[in-house]
This record gives sequence, structure tokens and C-alpha cells, in this order.
Amino acid sequence: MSSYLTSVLIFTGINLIAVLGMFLLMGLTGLLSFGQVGFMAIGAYAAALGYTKFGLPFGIGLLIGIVISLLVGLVIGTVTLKLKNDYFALATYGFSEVIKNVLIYFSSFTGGSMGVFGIPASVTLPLVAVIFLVGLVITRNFKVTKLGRNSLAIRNDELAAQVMGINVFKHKLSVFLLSAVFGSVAGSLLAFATYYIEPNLFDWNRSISLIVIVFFGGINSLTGAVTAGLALTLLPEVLHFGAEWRMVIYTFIIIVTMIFRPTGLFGRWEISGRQMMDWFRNRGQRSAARGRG
Amino acid sequence: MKNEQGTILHVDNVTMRFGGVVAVNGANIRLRRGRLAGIIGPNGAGKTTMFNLISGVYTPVEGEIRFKDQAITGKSPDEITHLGISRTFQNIRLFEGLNVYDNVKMAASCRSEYSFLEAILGLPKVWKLEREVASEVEYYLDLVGLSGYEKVWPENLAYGLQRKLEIARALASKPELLLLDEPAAGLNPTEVQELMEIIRHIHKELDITILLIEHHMDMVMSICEELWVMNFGAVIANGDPESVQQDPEVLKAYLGS
Repeated sequence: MSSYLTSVLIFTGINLIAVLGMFLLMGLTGLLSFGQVGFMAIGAYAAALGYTKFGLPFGIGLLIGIVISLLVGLVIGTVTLKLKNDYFALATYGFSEVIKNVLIYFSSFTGGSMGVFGIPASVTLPLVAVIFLVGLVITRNFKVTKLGRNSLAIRNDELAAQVMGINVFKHKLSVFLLSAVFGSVAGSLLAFATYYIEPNLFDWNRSISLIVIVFFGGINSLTGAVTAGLALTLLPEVLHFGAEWRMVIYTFIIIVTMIFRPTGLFGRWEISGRQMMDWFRNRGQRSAARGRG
Repeated sequence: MKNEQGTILHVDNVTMRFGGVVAVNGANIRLRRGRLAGIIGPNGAGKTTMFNLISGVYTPVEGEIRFKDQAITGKSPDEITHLGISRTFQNIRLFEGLNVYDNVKMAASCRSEYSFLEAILGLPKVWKLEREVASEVEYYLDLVGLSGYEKVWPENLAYGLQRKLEIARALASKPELLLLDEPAAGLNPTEVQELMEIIRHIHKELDITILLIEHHMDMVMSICEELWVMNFGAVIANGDPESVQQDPEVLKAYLGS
């Protein structure tokens, strides 16, 4: 595999990990958050500074990022999750901007807007693939257990969900924290997939692109979110679209999706092992029937 | 069985105001365990507000509500559900992102004893408890006559079936007290008959206390053992259906004077 393709796949995988977090938060639970990029920044800087300042290996930096993200997420979540959804979206936007500006302000430690240099690009494709698969299994487990049902209930009708016995705030906070972990892990991987990170890498556009992916693929479909994540990250790379056109294309995609397919490309459809088995079996029967005919 | 004839629900001098409007005014209800009872009254009498107070959607400005001799005033709706009160809504509120089966499963699994972490890690215990809940779901769907509709999205169900699904969902949280807010609203006469049978059957089979709000007088008079009549936020009469029907206050409220 060419090194170019490998690096494209690595970045796609990292993006997909962040997409999983956004799928849990926005897709299943209906919490529109612009704060995911804030947690990516925390993860990235924890891993990068851990290495450049303290010589900590990647794994330790990654864990530190997760712990900091959980603590920050606990504070931000406790304050914002009791707000109505639109105010929550605004508050999380504020959060990600604060993180960015804190990174710029404390320049003696974080390198300010100059960023952090000298990170070894030691993240490999197999590592990203394994972490993505673990994330995928976690997300899938979330969706098919009571957690997923509770999330969908809350997204649909918060009052009815509460009356049916769900502690809405506690559930939202748990999902927010889990998605913060996904963001943080994606951020740490991103830092170690490049040699250099800077605060502007964690612009709110990055949150928007995650939102677009989940929205495009279908807020109810994990299959859809992952497929859309693959398509919308890989295609521009392969077709050499400039980054400056990406937002225009995303905007166009959102408008077209809203008009023609408001439930997203995949709607509620999920790929499942049983469906695939059935499909192959039917195919076998059809060809057997043709053979006889 | 302990305290068979005891009071399961006390509503003591409860008042609820919205700005200047007094929705419930010093109301008292004492509901005996095992009853199938009803609240009736003209539109705007405060019946639904009463349900919202009992289920914790609102907190009363005055008075106290006790369930199984435990004060529940000020508790949140989810806490109250876990204590054993479940309800339906006047304007059906099903979860449209979940199919018929999962609507009921959501309520049934809410108390499943596996944690967030156990669920996302997919421990064997989780799948075992999920399977146990699955058979409960089938039971409740069957109880209201919705077997065979598992995969249907609730918004595609006929109105009468949506009402039944709401009842199945409320039952799935295993209440000791079930509150039904106008379960027959919008149903045709055949469906009302069917619903009455279902409510009677549930009452007998599950041995629970049921309190319902209803406008269909035939239904109330034929299935309820005890009635409370509300008007302008106050309870103006209480007793068995026959005596309530003869009560001059009630006649005045319904017919005007």
C-alpha cells in the first residue's frame, strides 16, 4: 500500500472514531453539540504535550487525555445538559472556542498559536483500525441495549421518557461523557498521526463536518453514519477536492438531504449478520432454481 | 398479602396554581389498593393536572401526595415511576424513533440491572437480562392485543392501537398504580367496548390499582367501582357510580344551574 493511501486511511479512521461519538450524542440522543472538537483538542494536546514536555509514551498520553476529557466533560455537561437543546448547542460551541483560546493563551506551555512540534508520527493503520473496531462494538452495544432505547426515547419525547422511568439528565450526561472519550481518543490519534498540531486544527468547522456526516448517513443508523463518514472523508481526499470547497459541498449535502431524505440516506436501516445470511441463502436458492429450470 | 384494603394513594389538600389560575384547589383523594376507580368532571376541571401532580410532572404549591404511605411530593417523574406509578397521556405520546416492540421494551428494561459500562462492554449478563425482558414485552403486547405488530412504527398504527400500545408501555414498567388519562378518547364505540374489556382484564389479571380519567359516561359507570368528580379544581363528590350520579352538586356541574 502506498504511504499516501495509508495516511488517507489513517485520517479516515480517526475521523470515523470521532463520528461514532457524534452519532451517540446527536444521532441517538438528539443532542446537537459543537463541542466535540473541544474534546479532540484536549486529547490531542494531552498526548502531544505529554510526549514533548514529559517524554510520556503515546498510550499514557491517550489515557491522560481521556481522564481530562471526562473531568472537563463532567463540569461542562453538568452545567449545560439541563438547558434546552438549542441553548445546549450554543453552550457547547462556546466550550470548544474556550478550549481553543486557552491553548492559544497559555503559550509558554502549549506553544500558543505556533502549536506543538516534534510529535513522532507513530500511529499506524492497524492501531487506528483496532481502536475504531473497539469503538464500533461499543457504539453497537450502546444502540441495541436499554441505553440506545433510552436515548431514542429521550430524543423523541423527553417528558414521556422521564415519566417512563428514565433519569434524563443522568442518561444525557453519561452519553456526553462517552462521546467526549471518543473525541479525545480521536484527538490523541490525530496528534500522533501528524508531526505538528496547532489550535486552529480544532476549529468548530471540524464539529460541523461530524454533524454533517451523521445527518447525511441517517441519525438512526450506525451503518449510515459509518458509511457517510467513509464517503465524505475519503472522496474529497481521493478526488483532490481542496479544503476550501469542502464546506460548500457539505452545505449542499445538508440542503439536499433535508429536502429529499430528511431521515438521512440510510434512514433506520442497519446492516446485520442475519440479513446477510438470508441474502446469501436466497441467492443460493435462486441460482439453484435457475440451474433446475 | 399485606394491607389488602389499605389506602395506596393519599392526595391531601393539594393545590396547584399556574400564575393566577387555580387548576387544582385543595383536592383530597384517598384511593384504596386494588380499586378500579375514575375521575370525571367537565373540561378544565383539573383532572389532567391532578394526574400530572401524582406522576410528578408538576409539584403542588400546597398539600401532600403519598403513595404506599411514602411522601412523593416533589419527587421527579422517573423516581415516582420506579416507586410503582405509571401513566398514559391524553394526547398519545409514543416514541416514534422506536418500533412497537421497543416502545414497550424501553419501559420494561428501564429497571434492568446492568450498568452503563456493562452495557457498552456487552458483558454476557447484559444479553441474558435483555432476553428476559423480551419475554415480558411479548406478554404485555399480548395482554392488550398487539401481538404481531412488533416491527410496526407507532405512527403507522391506527389510533385505537396507539392507545393500546400506550397502555402496554405503561404496564411494562410494572406499576402498582396505573393512571389512564382518557384512554377512550377518539375511539369508536366498538373500540371503546374492547378497551373496557382490556382494562377489566388487566385489573383482574395483574391485580393492580387503576385510576382513570374519562369522558365516556357509559364506560365510567360500567367499569369503575368508585368515582371522584372534579369541578373548577375542587373535588365536589366521591362515591360509587350510582350515588355520584344522583349527587345534586354533580348534576349542577354537568347541567348548569
